[in-house]
Amino acid sequence: MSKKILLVDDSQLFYRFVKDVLKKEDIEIIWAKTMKEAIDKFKKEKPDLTLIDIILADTSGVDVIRKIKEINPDSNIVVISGLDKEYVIKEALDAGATDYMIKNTSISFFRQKVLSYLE
Amino acid sequence: MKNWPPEIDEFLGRKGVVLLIRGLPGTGKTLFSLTLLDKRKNCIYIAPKKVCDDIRRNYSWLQKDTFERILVIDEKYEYEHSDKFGNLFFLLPESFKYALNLVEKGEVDTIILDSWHTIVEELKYKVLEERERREIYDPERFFLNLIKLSDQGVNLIIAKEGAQEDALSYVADGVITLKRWIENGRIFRSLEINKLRGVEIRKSEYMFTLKEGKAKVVTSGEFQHPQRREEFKMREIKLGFEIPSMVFPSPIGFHRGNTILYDFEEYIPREYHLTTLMPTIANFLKNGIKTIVVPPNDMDLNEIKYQIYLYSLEKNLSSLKIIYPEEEMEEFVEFADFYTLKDLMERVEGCIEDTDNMPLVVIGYDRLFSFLSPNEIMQFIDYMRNFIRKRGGLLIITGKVSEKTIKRFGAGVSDVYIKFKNINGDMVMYGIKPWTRAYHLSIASEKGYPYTIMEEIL
Repeated sequence: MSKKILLVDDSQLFYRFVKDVLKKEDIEIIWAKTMKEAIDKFKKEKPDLTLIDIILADTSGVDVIRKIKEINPDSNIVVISGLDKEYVIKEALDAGATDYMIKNTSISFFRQKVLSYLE
Repeated sequence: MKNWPPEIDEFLGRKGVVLLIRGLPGTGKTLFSLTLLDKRKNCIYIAPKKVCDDIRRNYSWLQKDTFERILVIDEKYEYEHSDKFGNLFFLLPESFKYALNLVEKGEVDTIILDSWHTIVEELKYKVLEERERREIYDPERFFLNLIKLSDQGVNLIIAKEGAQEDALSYVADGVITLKRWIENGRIFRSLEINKLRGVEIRKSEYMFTLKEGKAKVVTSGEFQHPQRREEFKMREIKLGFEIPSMVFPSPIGFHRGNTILYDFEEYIPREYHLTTLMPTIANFLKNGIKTIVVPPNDMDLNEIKYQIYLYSLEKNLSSLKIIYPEEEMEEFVEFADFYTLKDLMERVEGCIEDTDNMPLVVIGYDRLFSFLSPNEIMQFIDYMRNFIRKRGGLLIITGKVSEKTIKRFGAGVSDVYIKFKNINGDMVMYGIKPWTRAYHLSIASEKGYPYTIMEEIL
């Protein structure tokens, strides 16, 4: 059975990037741009991993992490953001994120990191 | 004590110290002493009658019980004899005897004397017939007796005219000098800590203001990430009304079609630059008004994202366009070739549609220095100025480069020109156009987002 990743990010370019990097894997990428979409899709699809950006179209990624953790406290959430301020990283981890990755990291590192959470 | 150098508090927390507050006339010695008296309940204030009368008439902000702790040096007071201070008790004026009674009861541990010069001068001309009283008021004897008093554990704060070194400053355990200077009609005040025996001096010079008749030390401090984030409180931008800057007080007003120049000295920390700029940007975005930013050097993309996060601007990103010289994945970032003036102009203009009413354009002119010549930058600014004027928006030119040509040009074309300086670690701003007094700046985040606190320096 294929694994599922929920990508919560309002950037279409990044969605394409994630799809591209993971296209050879048996992984389904579900894309959500807003908090509402993210919550609906999280409940419906029950993803194995959720990737969240901090800056979204309607709210901050930290708020989405909190909501998802309320629904499933055991869910794996990795923040993937261009924002690397330590205060924000701390807030995201405090909210329940498992990990924090900087967006302009290398493709191989990103791929390896994502796959490690799906093992 | 808030708004006060911690070194002075630490110093006065000890027993038997003599603190000299010195400064030229008008530097704020009396207000400084009165502020100390008002804040520290264990102090008593002794001054000549003229000074005491003046305080009663003019300093209504003092608390009621503070007035009860103001004594006239040569008035008669009902006191009780005390053996605790030995012969010294009999060698001091009655005001001191009364004060020493309070010291003995534990109600007071510090005597403030304001000021040495007025006391000595006034008493010199007084008709003192009794030999005993003459001896009491003889300056040299009086001085020696005060020192002996401090040896017995009483703290003394002596205000003194002039800033020169003399016997008082050599003997005192602590010396602070109050200074006042004027630059282009703007007043600045500082408190210099010359010595405080036994106390580590962390900062030797503090700025202070005498706003509302009280001495208040102001320190700029560092930015703290908010403990909890809160929605930025917007103010409506309405036709026919001033555009709120969200930062500056009156008389600095922003109006439709205005060009604003923020002239930052290089030594201003980034947080101060951003906290001055961002509230206006955030307010335009919260009002749903198109905002185009060619970010200054202090605002790289990571910093921009952080500011979006801090001011909770996620819902307003459709109105924001950041013109950036690098390709980015964010929807609100628009790539432009900064090496080509034409491309830059077209990109900025292209982001503003005909339906976008009174847009905000921010040009960080210091970033452009890596790409364009000063002439091209001026051309760009002039072009945007005319564009914004026609569209009834607002143009903010900001940056940190001391390029005189650009600054002079900016000063000439701007409707509002605000200067930001770093004076001994304290951030100060003032309006050059329109002329304003100087304001001390500090940043806070208690509201749940960063904001600037301004204290008028008076």
